[in-house]
Amino acid sequence: MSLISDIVKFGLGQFGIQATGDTPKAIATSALTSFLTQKVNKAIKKTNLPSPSASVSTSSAIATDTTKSTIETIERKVKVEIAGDTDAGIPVVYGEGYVQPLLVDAVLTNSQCTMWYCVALCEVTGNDLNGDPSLITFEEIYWEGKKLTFYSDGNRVAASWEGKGASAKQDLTLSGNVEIYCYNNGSESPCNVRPQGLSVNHGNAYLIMPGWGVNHQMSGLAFALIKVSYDAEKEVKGLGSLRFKMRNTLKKPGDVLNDYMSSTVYGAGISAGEID
Amino acid sequence: MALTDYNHIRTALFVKIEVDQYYDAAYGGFQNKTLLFSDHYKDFELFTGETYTALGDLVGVSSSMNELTPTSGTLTLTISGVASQSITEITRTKFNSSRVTVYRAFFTQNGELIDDVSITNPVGRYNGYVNNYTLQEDWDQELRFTSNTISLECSNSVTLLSKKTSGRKTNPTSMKKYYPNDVSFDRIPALVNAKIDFGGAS
Repeated sequence: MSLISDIVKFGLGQFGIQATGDTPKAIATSALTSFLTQKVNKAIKKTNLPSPSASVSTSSAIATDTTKSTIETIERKVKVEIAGDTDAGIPVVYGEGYVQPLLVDAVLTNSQCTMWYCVALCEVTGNDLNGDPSLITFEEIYWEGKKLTFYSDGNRVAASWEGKGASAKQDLTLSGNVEIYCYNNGSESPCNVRPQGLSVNHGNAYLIMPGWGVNHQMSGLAFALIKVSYDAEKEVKGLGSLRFKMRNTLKKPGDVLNDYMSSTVYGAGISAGEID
Repeated sequence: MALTDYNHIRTALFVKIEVDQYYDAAYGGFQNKTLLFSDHYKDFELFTGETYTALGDLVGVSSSMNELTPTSGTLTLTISGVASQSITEITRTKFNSSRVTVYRAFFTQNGELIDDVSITNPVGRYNGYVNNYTLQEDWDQELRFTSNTISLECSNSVTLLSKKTSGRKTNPTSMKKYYPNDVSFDRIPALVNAKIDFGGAS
């Protein structure tokens, strides 16, 4: 007995064909090939089912009827593992730069169908040498490498775009399922992604983020609140891989060196009297 | 006095230590105190209102280097002949991070400060901060006498900056260090590797 002969024996048993002589054996082999092809096709269909988001570790429980090739039910639930880190340094952006968000809070609401995330982006810097405060703006946001565009409210994602110019491809997967609320200096400084929705003010972060109060100030930070609505059909099942393009008006070398030397939060903390 | 005789120049080092929390036994607590002393032979008012106490040979200052590019540098100040009754003051005083400035001044053979436009006098020799201190006790069995020596190890700003780690981290302790009332980071530790069931059953 060998592995191959075992398979043949199994196939014969499955299709009820008694193998005698070469011809029945050939028929049995053909039938077995058909059976295996069907099994393989089923397996391929299973792997093509909606998969968990790439950015977070997820696992989905999918029940299928093994006797039919069609999917009857999908259990609409994924286990999202939160990628929190208690030792991540918050970056400082001078001029323009891309930053990866750092998870600060996550809250599940709306019968487990809406997930709110708060992500820190960068430190708010100090004044320039003339005494004028620096200003941080949100230039662009990318979700899984695709640039997001927003509806006129400035928060709801309208589409994500892959590529640039006329050849850019539009993806409506996130449309209506993701909202992003930007803040450029603590919870009481709402802003929008430029140049869209410039006139829109979405209010203080602690009034939007579930479970937050006035002491959730996110002091000295540029950050974003992200609302993700679960959508199994569109495969929106968590926070995608995000990248924010930030711009800081503080960019002249003298201003930057002075700020970095004097900041007590992220810099050297050298007093103004010691800087010539 | 203008510099006329280059063959008879005297020099002395003047040390200024600004201690934020100096333990004053007479006062019964901590207070700001600036220690001024020199290896000059007499007390001298180097700057207006700053009279440096003459300790003569009881003060020792290690060599230091002046370089064009900023590099890390250390300097050791040694003060001998510290009285036993001052030990409590020294051990309780928080010397660390106290600012240290060392000047070198040039004098004529008559002990007058040279005042000449061609040279800067006194000239700054070292700027730094106390990084550590050691107290050494020498017990003379025959004389039944104790003499104490305090050594202050000083580091310049470059050395301190190279050791410094700064920046806010994503944890509540780090946030509250800078913003004590801000609770925004409080839930981060609980979220690390937390698993959440996202999406309801259809």
